Amino acid sequence: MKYFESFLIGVKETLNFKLTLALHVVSPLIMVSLLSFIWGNIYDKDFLTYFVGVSLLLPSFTFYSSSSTKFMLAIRNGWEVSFAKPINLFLFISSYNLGRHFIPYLINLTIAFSYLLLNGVEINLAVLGFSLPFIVLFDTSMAYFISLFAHYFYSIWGVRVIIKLIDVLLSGLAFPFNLINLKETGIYYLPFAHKVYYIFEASIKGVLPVDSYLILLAYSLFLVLIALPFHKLGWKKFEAQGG
Amino acid sequence: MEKEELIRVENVSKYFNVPKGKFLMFPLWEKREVLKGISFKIKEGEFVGLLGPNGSGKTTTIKIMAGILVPEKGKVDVLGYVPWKKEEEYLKKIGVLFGNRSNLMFDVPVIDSLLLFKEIYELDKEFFDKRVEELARMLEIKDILQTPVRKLSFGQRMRAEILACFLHKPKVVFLDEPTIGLDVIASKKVREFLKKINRNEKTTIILTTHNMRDVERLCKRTLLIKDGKIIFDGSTNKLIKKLIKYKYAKVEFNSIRNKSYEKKILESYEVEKCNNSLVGRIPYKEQVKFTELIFKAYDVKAFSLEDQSLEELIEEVFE
Repeated sequence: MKYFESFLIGVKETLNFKLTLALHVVSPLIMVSLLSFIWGNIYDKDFLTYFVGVSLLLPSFTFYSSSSTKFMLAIRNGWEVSFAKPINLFLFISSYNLGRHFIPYLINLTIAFSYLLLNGVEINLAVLGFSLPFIVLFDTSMAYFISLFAHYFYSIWGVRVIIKLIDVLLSGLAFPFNLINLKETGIYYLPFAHKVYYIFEASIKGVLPVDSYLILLAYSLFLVLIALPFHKLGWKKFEAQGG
Repeated sequence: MEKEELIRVENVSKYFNVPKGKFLMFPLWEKREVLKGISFKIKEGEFVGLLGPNGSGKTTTIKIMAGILVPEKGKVDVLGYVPWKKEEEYLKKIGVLFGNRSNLMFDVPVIDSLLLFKEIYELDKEFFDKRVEELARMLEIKDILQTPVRKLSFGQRMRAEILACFLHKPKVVFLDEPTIGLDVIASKKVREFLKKINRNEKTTIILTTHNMRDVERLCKRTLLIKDGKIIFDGSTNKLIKKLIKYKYAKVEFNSIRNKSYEKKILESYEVEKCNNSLVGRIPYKEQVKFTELIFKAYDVKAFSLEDQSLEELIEEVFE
C-alpha cells in the first residue's frame, strides 16, 4: 500500500501542474511528427503509423531516466538523510515516478490507439497490457543500475545521457526498425528493442512476445545483480556530512 | 524506579574523506576522524541537547543513531537495535528531522504527504485522524493542511515537518536544528510543542541546535561536542552557569530621566553611549540589576539583552 500511495502522490503532482502535463503529452507528439517527416522524406514512405505505435503506445520515454536522476540526487545530496523511514527509497521514487508518468501515458495511449484504429491498424490491448509490467521492470532495473554511479562519482549526468542515447537509438524510437534486420545487426540480443519495437509488433499481431519478455527479464536480473553489491557498498561508505 | 536506557553509544569513531589538494587534475583525499571514540547513554523520556560548533560532529552523531551513517568503530544500540541495519521495526519507532531538509512532498498539500506517511508507518485510520487533529491543533497548523507545501511560509513548513516527524508516535526522535531560520514566534511555538510532547508522551528527544534558547528551555541534559569529542555531559543548568558570563545589551532611549543612575551605569558596566543609544556587555548575573537601572535612568524606546553566541561560549570554555 505504501508504494501505491507513493504512486498516487505522483499522479496528484502531475494533475497539479497543467502546463507540465500538457508538455508531457505534446512533446512525444512533436517527436513523432518530426521523425515520421524526416524518415518519410528519406524513404518516400509513410512512417507515421510506425512512430505513433512505438512512441505513444509504449511508456518507455522518460520513466527510468527521471527515476535514476531522482535517486542519484537523493544519494548525492543526501535526501536519504531526511528519509530514514521504513520504506525502500528506490522503490518509493520509482512508484512516485510511475505515478507522475501515468496520466500523460494514458492520454498518449488514447491518442495513439484512436489514430491507429482510424488507419486500420488494430492493437491487441491484452498483449499490450500484459507487456507493460515487463517494460516497467526493465526501466526500473536500469534506473537502479544507473544510479549506483552516484555513490562513486560526483558528476553522473554523462552516464545517464549515454545510456539514454543508446536506449533511444537501439529501441526503435529513432529509426524505423521495420526496415532493419535486427538479428544480423545484433540489436536483437540487446534489451532495448524488446521493450519498444518488438512489443509494438506483437501488439499488432496479437501474439505474446515471449522471447522479448525473457530477454527483458534476464537483463533486468543482470542489471540488479550487478548494481546490488555496489549500492550496498556505497551506502556503507555513504558520507552525508553536515546537516 | 530507574528509567530504562534507550540509547547506548560506546567508543564510536567515524571517518570522512576530505579533499587535501590536487595532483595534476586529480583530487587528493585524506581521512579525517570526525568522531573520536564518543560514548554516552540516554534514558527513556530524556530531552538531550547536543551542542557544538559547526563541524564538531553533532549531526554525524545523530545520523549514526538514526541509521543513516555506519561508524568505522564502536557500538551503538538504540531501542535494542543496531541502527544502520535499518530494520523496519526500528525505523517505525524513531522520528528524524533535519531542519534544512524536507520530508514533505513539495508540490502536493501537506495532508497528502501525511497520508503517504500513514501508509509507510502502517497507521490505522482512526489513529491517524485523531493524531493529525491533535498535532495540528498543538502546532496551530490546522488551516494549512490542504495547502501545497511550496505555498507555505518557512515557519508553517517547519511546523508541518514536525507534525510529520511525530505522526507515528515515535519512541525516540532525532532533531537536527529544528528551529533554524525560524522567527521568534515560530521558534517559541515549536519549543512549546516539543516540551509538551516530551512530557506527555515520554518521547526521548535528542536535539542539535545553535540556538541557546532551545537548549535552555527544553533540554535538562546537554552533551557538548568539540572536534569529535564529548567535552561536557551533564545538566544544562550546570553548563550554562559554567559557560555564560555576559549578556549583550542594546538600549535606545528618548531622553534621560535621572543623570545619577546614568552615571552609575556608565561607570559600572562595559557600555558605550552614542547619541540616544547604549551598547555593551554586562555580566550574566547582573542582568536584572542592570535592567532596573536602565529604566530608572532613561525614558526607554527599545531595550534588548542577547546571549553570547554558542561559538563564543565554547571558545571561552577552552580559554
